Amino acid sequence: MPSVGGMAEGAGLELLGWSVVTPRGIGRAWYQNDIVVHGSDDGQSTPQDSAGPTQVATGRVKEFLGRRGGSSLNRSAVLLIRAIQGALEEIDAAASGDGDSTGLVVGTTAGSVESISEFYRDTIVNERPYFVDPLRFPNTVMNSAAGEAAIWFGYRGPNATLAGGPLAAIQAIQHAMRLTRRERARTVVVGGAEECSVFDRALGSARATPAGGVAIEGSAAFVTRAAPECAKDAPKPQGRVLAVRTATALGDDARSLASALDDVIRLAVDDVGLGMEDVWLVASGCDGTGADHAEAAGLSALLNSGRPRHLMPKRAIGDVRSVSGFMQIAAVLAAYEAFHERRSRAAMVTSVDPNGVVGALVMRGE
Amino acid sequence: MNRTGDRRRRVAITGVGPVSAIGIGREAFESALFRGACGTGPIEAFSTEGFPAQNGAEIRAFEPGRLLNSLDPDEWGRSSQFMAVAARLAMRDAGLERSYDRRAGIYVGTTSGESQEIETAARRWVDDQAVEFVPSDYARAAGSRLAIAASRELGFSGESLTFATACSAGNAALSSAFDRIAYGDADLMIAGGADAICRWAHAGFYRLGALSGSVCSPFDAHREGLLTGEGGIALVMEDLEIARSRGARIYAEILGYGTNCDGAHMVAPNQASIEACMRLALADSRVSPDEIDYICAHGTATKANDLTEGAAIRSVYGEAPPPVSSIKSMLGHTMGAASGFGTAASALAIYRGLLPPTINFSDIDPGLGWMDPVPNSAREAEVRYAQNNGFGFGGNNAIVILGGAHA
Repeated sequence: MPSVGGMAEGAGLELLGWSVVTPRGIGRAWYQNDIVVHGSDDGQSTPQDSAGPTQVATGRVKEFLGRRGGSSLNRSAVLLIRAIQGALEEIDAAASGDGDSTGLVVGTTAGSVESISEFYRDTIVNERPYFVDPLRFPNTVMNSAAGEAAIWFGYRGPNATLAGGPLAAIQAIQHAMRLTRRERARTVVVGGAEECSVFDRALGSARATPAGGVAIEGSAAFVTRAAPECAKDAPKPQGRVLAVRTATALGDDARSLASALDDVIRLAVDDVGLGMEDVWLVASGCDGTGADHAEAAGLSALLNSGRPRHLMPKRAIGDVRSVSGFMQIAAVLAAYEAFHERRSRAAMVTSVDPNGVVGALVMRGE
Repeated sequence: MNRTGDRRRRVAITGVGPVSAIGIGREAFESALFRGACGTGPIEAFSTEGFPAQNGAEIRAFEPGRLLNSLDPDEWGRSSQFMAVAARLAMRDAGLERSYDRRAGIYVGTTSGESQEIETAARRWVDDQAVEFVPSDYARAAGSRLAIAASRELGFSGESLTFATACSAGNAALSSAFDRIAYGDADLMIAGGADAICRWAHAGFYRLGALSGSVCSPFDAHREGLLTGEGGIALVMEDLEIARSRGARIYAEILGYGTNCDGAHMVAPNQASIEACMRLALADSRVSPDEIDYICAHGTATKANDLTEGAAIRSVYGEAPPPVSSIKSMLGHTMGAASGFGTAASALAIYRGLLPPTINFSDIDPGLGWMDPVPNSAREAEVRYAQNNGFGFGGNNAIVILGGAHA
């Protein structure tokens, strides 16, 4: 089987340290053990049942984040900061780069719907419509988590929040690739966070997402860079992203989405000089329920050609919305760690936004 | 000659599609811009009862059904409608409505995405004390829909990307689109921004002491603050040589940009960081401060922004900065669309040799005594190079440099 040879988008994006934060567990080691065992479609996975935890046990923010100063942060910011801390712990602190040139790219769906809803509610129910908490106003903008994380870690390079929903992770990785390739930043932290909104809590056990899955909160972060560092103590990458393709479907019906996904899958593997049959592993946004039929249909050619392993983290973890793609990338890295002899084989990550955008990413291990 | 050497292609602005409180469509917008029209007044989009400040810059009588060819407006929120109409108008202005490469990408900047959709759903929660949760409510609130709406209206199948970097998001979208063309990944891109006026932003800015009770008077000694606005703006960006070969009208060239993050405070602007962003933009474009003939300011008319932005300009530009005007005096603060409108205004300033005015102006803030704010009336001037500023909550800064498209 050929190893991944060709490169699109320059030299690719190296993935250094990473971490995830979920209601069931936190950190690379936990996720690696749990997801590799439970994520495949070979019948061993146990779908997340709706009675499981949907919120991360953050407790007191000061203890969760290990220092003072988090009292006005919204949950998205707290979760994102915790994930970045975890990612930095995985690599030598010095290798995380100097703040002035470190970029940050964060994915989201609609920001903190919780913060917006409660702020809006205060304008309705309070004695005066302007009796709102000024400290919570910044929490209502979609880039609040990215802004708070930049303050927390001192990241002053390019800072972007991409509202991509299920595509956010793939789009954020692609944006980081472009920033580093164009030398707009050297190190880019890429991640995302979703909190359970007031809607989720009000519904009790029926915590449905638009796709019909169970909505949970969570976050993820990756430290990335382009081109190998020359310093001999620079951290070795755990994997690298070689090609990313996204496209807009001509309609939001399942057939259009499936067709568009099939297109970007073919384009992405072609970008790296491979065929679909060369893909060893795919981590998709499918959750094994009927709601994912658009993505499942779009994957069918890929799954039938080389019979790759198919990981579905959403089945094991639940639906973390815009963080899903990061969970998928993490699952691939965990698989490379568990199956080290496969590290030169290509893996793919796919996502479908029911609003009409699809994406596919090709990566390899190290 | 490419100023940055031959590693980058040149990027032209060939179409302008504004949906604004002073006009819809390039001709109406341009005429109003240079006439110093005022698009602000009493807000009707939501109840302002109980607010001491009741003005904003909303778009009245917006009829998306008449302006859209493909989309059914009933299926999309207001911000998405703005963006789709803006994209349609921009392509028409560029003379590309009949034939174009449908694989082009659309990059959109926004602060609050589909803010009115979230307010509608939140209103049900407030009134009923329980959510009659319709999954489609939340789906309509997704920020991704702004860019998707524009792609769907034009039948584009390329990238649809929404930058949610607050009030500099327009420039963020334009900057990324610039990179796509400059580095050879695309020949055509549409970029801009959109936001809809909403009650929660009005309340928040008022509570911060940043909201004006009357008009928006940037740089004025007696300014009261900003006015929340709304709108959508799209610019068609093309490889310059391709634009020339098809005989396109070229408003201006985008030469480069700078983007950084304060990493200091979520709301208060940071002078050192803004200065650094200006220097990044000028360096990226290989333009020196003395070549800039016009600065389209972020100019929200808050006490803090105008003084901080002014001090940063003075620091970078020295004793004789170029004229600085703020179109927010006319448009209000259109949030994620604001720096997109600023880039459009800068391109038109270059193309027409006219400086947009800062209206509602009486006396300069004593801390800005050096400034020429182009008070109240547009002024003829040769604009070889222009700078457009965008700053936002979260410390997100993005600045774009433009130039006239001479040989």
